[in-house]
Amino acid sequence: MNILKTTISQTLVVKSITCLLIGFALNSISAQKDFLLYGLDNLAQSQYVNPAFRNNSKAYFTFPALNQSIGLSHSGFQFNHLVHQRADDSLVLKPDIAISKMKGINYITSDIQNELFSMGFSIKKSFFTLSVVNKLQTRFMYPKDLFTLAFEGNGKSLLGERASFDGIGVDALSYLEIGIGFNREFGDKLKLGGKLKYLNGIANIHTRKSNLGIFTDELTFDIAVDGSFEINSSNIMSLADGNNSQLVSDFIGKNKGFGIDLGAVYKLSDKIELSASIIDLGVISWKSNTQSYVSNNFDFQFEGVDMEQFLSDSSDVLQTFLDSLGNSFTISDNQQNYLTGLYTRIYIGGKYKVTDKVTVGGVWYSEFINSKYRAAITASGDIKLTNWFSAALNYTYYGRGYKNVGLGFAVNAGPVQLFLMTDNIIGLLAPHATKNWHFRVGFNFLIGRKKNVSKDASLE
Amino acid sequence: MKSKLISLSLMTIALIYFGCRKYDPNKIVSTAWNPNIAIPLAYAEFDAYDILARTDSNDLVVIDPISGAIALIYKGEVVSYEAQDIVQLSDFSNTVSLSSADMGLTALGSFSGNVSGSTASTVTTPANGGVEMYTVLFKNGNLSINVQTNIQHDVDITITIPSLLESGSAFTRTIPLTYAGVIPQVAAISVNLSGMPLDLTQGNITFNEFDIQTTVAVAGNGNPLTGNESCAAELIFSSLKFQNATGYFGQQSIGIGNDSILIKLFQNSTEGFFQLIDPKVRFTVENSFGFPLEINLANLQSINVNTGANLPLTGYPNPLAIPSPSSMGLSTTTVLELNSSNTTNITDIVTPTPKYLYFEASGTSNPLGNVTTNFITDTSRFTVDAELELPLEGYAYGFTFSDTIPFTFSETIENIENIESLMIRINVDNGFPVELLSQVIFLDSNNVTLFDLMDAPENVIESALIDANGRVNQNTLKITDININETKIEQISEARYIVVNAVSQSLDGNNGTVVEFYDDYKLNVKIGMQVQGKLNF
Repeated sequence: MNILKTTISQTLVVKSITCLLIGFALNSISAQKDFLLYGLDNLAQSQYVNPAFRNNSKAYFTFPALNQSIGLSHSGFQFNHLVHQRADDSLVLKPDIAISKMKGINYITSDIQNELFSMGFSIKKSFFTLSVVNKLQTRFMYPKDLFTLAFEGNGKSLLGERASFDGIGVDALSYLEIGIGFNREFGDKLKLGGKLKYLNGIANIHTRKSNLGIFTDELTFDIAVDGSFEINSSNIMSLADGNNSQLVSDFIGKNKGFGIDLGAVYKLSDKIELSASIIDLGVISWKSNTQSYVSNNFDFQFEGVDMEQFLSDSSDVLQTFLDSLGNSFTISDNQQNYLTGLYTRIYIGGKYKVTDKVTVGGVWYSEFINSKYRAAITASGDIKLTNWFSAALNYTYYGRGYKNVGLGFAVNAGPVQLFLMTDNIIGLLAPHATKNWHFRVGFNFLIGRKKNVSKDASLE
Repeated sequence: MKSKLISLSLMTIALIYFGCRKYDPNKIVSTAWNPNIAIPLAYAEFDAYDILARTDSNDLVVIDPISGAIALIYKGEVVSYEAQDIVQLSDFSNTVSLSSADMGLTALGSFSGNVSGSTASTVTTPANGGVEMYTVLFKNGNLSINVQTNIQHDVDITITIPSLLESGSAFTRTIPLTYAGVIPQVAAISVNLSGMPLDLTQGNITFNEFDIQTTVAVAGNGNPLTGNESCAAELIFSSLKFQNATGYFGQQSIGIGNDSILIKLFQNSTEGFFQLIDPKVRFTVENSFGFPLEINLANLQSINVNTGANLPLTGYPNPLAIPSPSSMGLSTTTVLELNSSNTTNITDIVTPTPKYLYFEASGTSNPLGNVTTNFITDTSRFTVDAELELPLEGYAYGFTFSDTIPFTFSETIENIENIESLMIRINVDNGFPVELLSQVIFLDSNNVTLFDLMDAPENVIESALIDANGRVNQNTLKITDININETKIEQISEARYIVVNAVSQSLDGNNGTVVEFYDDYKLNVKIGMQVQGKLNF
């Protein structure tokens, strides 16, 4: 802010941009994918990654609003790719290196979950849960060519190439989730679980279609712009207008949706356990304050000024260009209702019980962003040192980032369970050198917790 | 145990706090940003018509509808002669007098009887230039008849012109004079001759003549006769215009005069040579006069605009016989085309340009004399159109053009220091068998050269390729990159004039390779610019 208050100058502009980039990079480190939570399946919150998981108490409830989870991820580049620190502590911008780290399409995603309330209890072999969670998930997709165009211009590597901005866009999904879960043991080996979720959409912006390309002819420098897009939104305009008096009535009950989580755990042997889940399979129908913008399939060619026209009447040249542009590019808007899917995730995991205290495992994570498949692979280990303390450590390759080392603790103090975890501790220690950041913290109140860890395993 | 946990927690917090590297934006030092922007500036597509007709829209670019071959037509002034220039009808008059004897009157103290007398006279009409008029159909004309007598009795004077027909009958008018005690008795009438034919041959035996019959009838009223009575009738023909006429209009000299045609092709060139293998000079004579003509061409030559040197055309056919149309209302068109087959040096006189094609001409009617009856109408014309046709088939070389254009870069280039270099790219896809070597020079206000835009004159346009017949069979794309470095960019603001020099020639023109121009030839020009930025922060 201090910088913004100083005199506008080129240096200031650059530094301001740098500030934004720093914030941009920091805010895009790490994803909330709960890789570690998948390993700490004795936590009540593990139901959010596999409804077949249950904790080792007969009943639990959570303290309202004390269970928080924040995850951010940026698949493009690390901050220190963009900003290099020299020996004299000065900084140098290296956008070319940052660009070289990008892929064609890069993602900045965030996932924030506020567990407003949750409870669960077991009846014989069954376990029932009720949860109320507020979720905000955002995705910003940007193409590498956007940065290449800004940094290099169109006269270098993009000359003779189509600078592709296909897929550029933003998605934001905010909704309240009320879920009723159930899981049950079938014999000694199989546990199946599911959760039905009623969803109330709060706000949404959805880039349904986004194609944009700029082609510069390498011989003539003629520029062709092609593309089309469709963007849907609900309640975004109300939020932007700050019309709070109407917000509650608009948000409650109008954007209905349903979702389902499914999970299974299979105990292959005393030491090996396999699990799988599909989370957030569902849709929301958006009806409140909807506003959609749809463009035509435009294809505009700019070859410069028509010399013959210019020689005859130069005053019409600009108008002719604007007319031509206007005729090529049209946008229509509508207020039609629309559907969006949830950001569905799939976990497939396995565990190997090394000892009674130590378990190692792995998770294969899958997700789809605008029909593009993304995956992560996690290797994890957890240790139950005492009956009141357990810890987990994992390593994940995700979001084209390999510097993801997760660490988590769960401490039981009587009926109170405190847990703290991150999928990427490096994100906390060196946020400039990683792409993923995640933090989950919460309190649970457990009733009838099983004490199955021997005293020999105590840290003391 | 608890102390270990506390220690572990404190270590974790410390690691997180100190591990976070502090990035202060104020520590960012100079950073280079060198974007390269490529944009199109202008484009155009020219065909042969666009290029050739742009110099003067009055010139005609002619495209052969079958072959598509292109020719330039330069037209001379139209020389025309109207009917009135050949045959004029002048006013004329004739007076007829009758004496007492002609009227059979003798002296008497009192005369109460009736008596009459008549006389005939022949009128010869005036004629210009030996014109022998046979017949005339009047379009306009007036006949005034004035009569006078000193007879103290009532008198009727009748004028009859047998060869002048009115509604198919001989023209006749009677003018009564009723004596009222005053002499001389006078009277006058006026007759509109429009639509009346007049035969001037006296029955196919002569020309320019017709007869008038005058009859005087006297009715006595008891007054005396002196024996000296007379009677006179004056006929005045005026404002005569013919609708048509026949006759023999003589061997009249028709002075067509002289004219010149400016050949504007390459008129801006200061030097150069071109040769067209089939130039044509065409004289088109249209004749609706009913008599033959003979046109004599003289001093047909080209005059170099720059040097004044002239080169006469030789060997062309001369004179030119122009036939008569077969009947009134028709016309004949006679074309004399002078080309390489009926002249000896027409290709030479059109070379080099720019120049005038100069010619003189005169004409004579009825060159063979009175061998057939001539006719003419009031709309008869005799016109001579001259045109020079230059089929664009030939070769050219060394055509040098130079133009100085005032130039002021009035707008300040902001942040010019942020431009490291410019590159202007000219793409010319040439479908014409012509190439152009060019250089552009920037001058300051004292006409001192600031810089040459190109390191050396460069072929901005390269010729298309041709087949064995000289027709283009393959376009040629030439890309010219003009690099303007930082020094030149800074000097542009000082420039006040731009001198454009160019030398053009047809494909292999200096070796006499003949090329042809067709209407499907196209010249596509695209100009783009690439800017190399240099932004240091």
